[in-house]
Amino acid sequence: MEIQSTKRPGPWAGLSFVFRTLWTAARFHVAVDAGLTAAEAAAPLALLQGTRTVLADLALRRPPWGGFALLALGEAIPAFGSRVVYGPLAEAISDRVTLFLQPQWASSLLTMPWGRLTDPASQEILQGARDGSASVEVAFDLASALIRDLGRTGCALGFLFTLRPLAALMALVACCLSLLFWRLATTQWEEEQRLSALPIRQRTGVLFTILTGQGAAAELRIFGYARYVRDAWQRAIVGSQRAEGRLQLLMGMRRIAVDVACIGLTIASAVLVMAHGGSVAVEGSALWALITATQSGGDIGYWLKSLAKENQNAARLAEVLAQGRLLPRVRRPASLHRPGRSLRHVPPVRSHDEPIAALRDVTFTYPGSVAPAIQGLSLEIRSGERLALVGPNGSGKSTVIRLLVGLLSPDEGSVHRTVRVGIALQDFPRYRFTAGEYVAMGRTSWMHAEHRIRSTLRRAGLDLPPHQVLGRIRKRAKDISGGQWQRLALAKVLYSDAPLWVLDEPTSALDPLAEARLYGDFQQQSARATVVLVTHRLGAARTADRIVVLDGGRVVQDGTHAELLADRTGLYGRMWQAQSGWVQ
Amino acid sequence: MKRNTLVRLVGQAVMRDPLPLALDLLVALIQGGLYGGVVAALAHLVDVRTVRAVLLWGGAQLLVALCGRLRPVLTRRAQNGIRLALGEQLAEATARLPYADFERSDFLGDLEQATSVLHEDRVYQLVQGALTTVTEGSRIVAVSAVLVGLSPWLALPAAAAGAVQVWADARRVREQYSLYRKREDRQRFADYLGGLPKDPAVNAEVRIFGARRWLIHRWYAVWRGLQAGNHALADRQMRRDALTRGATLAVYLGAFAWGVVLAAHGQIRLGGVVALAAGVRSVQVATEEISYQMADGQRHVLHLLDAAHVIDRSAACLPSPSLKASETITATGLTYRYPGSRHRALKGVDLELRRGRLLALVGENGSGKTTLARILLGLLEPESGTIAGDGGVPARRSAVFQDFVRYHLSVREEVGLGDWSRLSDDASLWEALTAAGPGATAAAQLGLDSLPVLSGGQRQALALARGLFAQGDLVILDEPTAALDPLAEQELFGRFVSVSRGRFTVIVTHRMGAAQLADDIAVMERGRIVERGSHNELLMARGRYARMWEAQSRWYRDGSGPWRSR
Repeated sequence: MEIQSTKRPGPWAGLSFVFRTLWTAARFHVAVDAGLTAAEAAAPLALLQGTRTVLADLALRRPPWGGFALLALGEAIPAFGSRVVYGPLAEAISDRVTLFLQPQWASSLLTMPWGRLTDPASQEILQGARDGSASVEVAFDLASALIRDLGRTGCALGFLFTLRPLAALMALVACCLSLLFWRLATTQWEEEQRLSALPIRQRTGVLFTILTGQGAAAELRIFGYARYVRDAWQRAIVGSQRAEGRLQLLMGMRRIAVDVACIGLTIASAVLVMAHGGSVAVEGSALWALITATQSGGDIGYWLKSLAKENQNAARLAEVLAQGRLLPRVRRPASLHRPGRSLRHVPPVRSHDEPIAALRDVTFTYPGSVAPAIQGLSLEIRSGERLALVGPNGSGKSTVIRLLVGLLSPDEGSVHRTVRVGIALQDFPRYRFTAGEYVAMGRTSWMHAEHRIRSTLRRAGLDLPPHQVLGRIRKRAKDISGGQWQRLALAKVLYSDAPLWVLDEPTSALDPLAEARLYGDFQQQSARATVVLVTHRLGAARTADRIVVLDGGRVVQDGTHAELLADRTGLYGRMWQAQSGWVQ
Repeated sequence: MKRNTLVRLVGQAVMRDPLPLALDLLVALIQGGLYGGVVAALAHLVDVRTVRAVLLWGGAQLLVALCGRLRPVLTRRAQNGIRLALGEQLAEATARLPYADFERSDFLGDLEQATSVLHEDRVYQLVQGALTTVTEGSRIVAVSAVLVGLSPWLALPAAAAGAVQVWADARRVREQYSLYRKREDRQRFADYLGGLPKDPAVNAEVRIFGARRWLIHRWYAVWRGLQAGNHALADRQMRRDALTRGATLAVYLGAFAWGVVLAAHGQIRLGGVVALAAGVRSVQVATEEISYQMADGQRHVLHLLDAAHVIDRSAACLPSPSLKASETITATGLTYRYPGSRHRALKGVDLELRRGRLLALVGENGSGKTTLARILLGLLEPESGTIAGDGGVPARRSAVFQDFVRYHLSVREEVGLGDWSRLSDDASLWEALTAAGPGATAAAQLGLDSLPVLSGGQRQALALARGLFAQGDLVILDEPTAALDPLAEQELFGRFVSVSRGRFTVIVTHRMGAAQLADDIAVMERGRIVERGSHNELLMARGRYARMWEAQSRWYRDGSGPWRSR
């Protein structure tokens, strides 16, 4: 396995421990109060750096020789410390941030209302939240720089005030002005954001991916459009250059205006210091303080702006965290391979009368869409029955399933389900796990029951070599064929031991013999379960206990094959004709 | 070889639009020289005490800042020039590479590295690094001139401290890169695991099966494993840094003490001490910057070598010969083995395609149907065996795959890429869209040039429209109807039969109903064609095809079905 012992040796382990404690306090803040700002989270670290610089700046109060010596140290120590102390520390912090935030992010995403994931309105927030973890890390650096510069400017201004009050006031004005100007000026980030929002910029990305990506490699060779796409890409680059150039010139001019104003004010203050006369040492110190104050003061606006950006993403992350459930404690699992435990199997209660799941007068409209996907639909599923759900593309079959398993909640009406459900989706994910893990995901509390995994794989008709069952990450999808994938997806349902199975086109990629074999195998395995089968292959649906035909979000027909076929002109009759006419 | 390609690559990229780069170089030189001016002004400031000195200093500072603001505007153009030159090379190279390369994960790693050269503007950064080196170098020269004026011996130790820094940075970069390449797979796996909750289908499944905790812990375990390596690297790095920074600090403090001694002897004045300290620090910062840039450049070069590797590789590839056929295409003794696989996917396939006759390829999963289709399309080069036509005009190829491409382009381009020479032919675009069914026309309802948001079904329809628009002589449909309902499916196959007139057409399918429509059927098993003939002949033969037919049609004929009645 990938797990290795994670030790953090080195002389700074103690420091890292101190920080860990501080950080733990901060992170609970994240968990409890979703409105935490990145700046708050960064405070402990910022203090470390800020204090150091503030101390160095205090040295200015001892002119001339002692002050110079301290100044020299103040210059040298941060330079030394920034890489030797701060670097590793920042890395440790960044690790901790990721280790804490990523699981919480994942957990929230897996517990928030599922519909949000596909809702176009919430995409921006979801995207921002994905970057939120990185933003919190960056915010550490930014906030510490901000505090450092605040402290530095404050100290330098105070010192200057004791020497030349008027010059200090002018420097203060310069700092405030530069802050004001920074509001006008744009940062690199804003520039990048604005530029990347240009449609032509996005087009360049899309086109280049077509040219060099794996996805279009086959079609590019067959259709031979490489030259066209390359030319289009070049045109897009040239076009975006024109659009960018204008924008960039504008933003450059603004920045230059800010620079001219700030440096001008600094020069004026310097002249004032010089014009006043006084000892060389005092003058030198005053100038030094002046330069420090205006330079650091000028940076404050930049830090503030950059922080605002990171804060935005952090706030989005907080928003996502607030919508889902958090994990109280994330730890490395002790081992992924524990010996199998003995398992108890409880046979499901069988009674044909009692509905184990029901949709009553359900109406559902997808966000961003006008027409409802499901309108006033009622459906009862009784324990032990085999129900086939058929209908043309876009008739609402997938929506019914999503409502049934609780991924979506209805706008009107109600959905009841009393039992656990196992599902094989048509576009089931092809995880890059071992086959063993893939199957055991059906019931993760039995993740280590190796015996059970093997027997389930056998029951699903999968005869895989051992290295694929419990080996390392599969590197290539080629190792498992399409039919095997589909069996794996079904094996997962088997392994989940759920009393209700929802199978969405479980054989779409299978050859006829494999399809027949698979149904034969699962016929036996499903004897104890209630099955909802969604399919376009009416031959597979015909012997179901009940066939429900959907069209336009409503149930249009409901009954056994024979009953439905009695109506030749009905939707089912027509579909049956179309398909069976072919193979007779 | 690789290095020559690298030099050529960078050279071409830089020479594409050299003017902004030259201007940038000029600005960089001025900027560096001005730093010297600032230090000189500082040295005179405290001594001379004139308003003129302040103005000098301020003016220098202002110019430095303005130059800094000017450079991005200039370099943007340079950056685009480099991007264009490099992209051209890479696009040409990847288009020449054989398709089989895209099936290998190790090659995909190389390709990802190679394209990162463009995405991350590595050549530009390399050039930018060189310019920064020039700036810093001129800064060192300018400041050293001032320093030598104060005390001639000071430049030496500053340079010595810098040399240590260069060594340490170079080591760091090499270690980082080798660690990165070594753990690329695991890193990608960790990223993959981390991104899983975002995928709606995965998210749904994980919720339903209650695998949330397990998934998160799985990521956690992999991530922790990766971190252990990072920490080891960081620790080594920290020790090296402590050494180099210690040396730097010692030199700086020594220089300062030297200045104080000189001042105490009255050789220099107070302003001289300030300028000395600032100057030494300035030289050190500049050396560090140069060292950093050199190390960074080394990192870029390592990645650029990957790009050079891809380009070299493609140079050795010949374009697949075009297939000239008027009436028949004959394949003889085709064998194929996927790279890294132990078994042959094809073990000697003979096949004849005739114009106007639809061939259906059926067979079990993994019997080699798709491989054969890919070889016919010229995507894969057979290990042995040949495909030959009977002369005439070159045959255009066209295909619709089960895992079709999602392009994210306008409808016109999504469809028109099939045959881009007719991209502006609206009438035939609409024809293809109509032929592909209502899903395709619905996708284009906002106009051909719209960039629509598409459902899965609509994307499949567009892929079909693209295949039809290509008007290929050789058209292959690889299981295109997996997600279609019975009525739509029948309509599509009916349409395809009419397309097959006057063309070489192959359909790969599991639907025996569709196979029945074909003129010839070839049944594959374990990389060989085991039966061939018309539907009726094959049914009479009572072989594998008959069994498959029986398995699928049984449910429609008699009363049987997959679920036994209880």
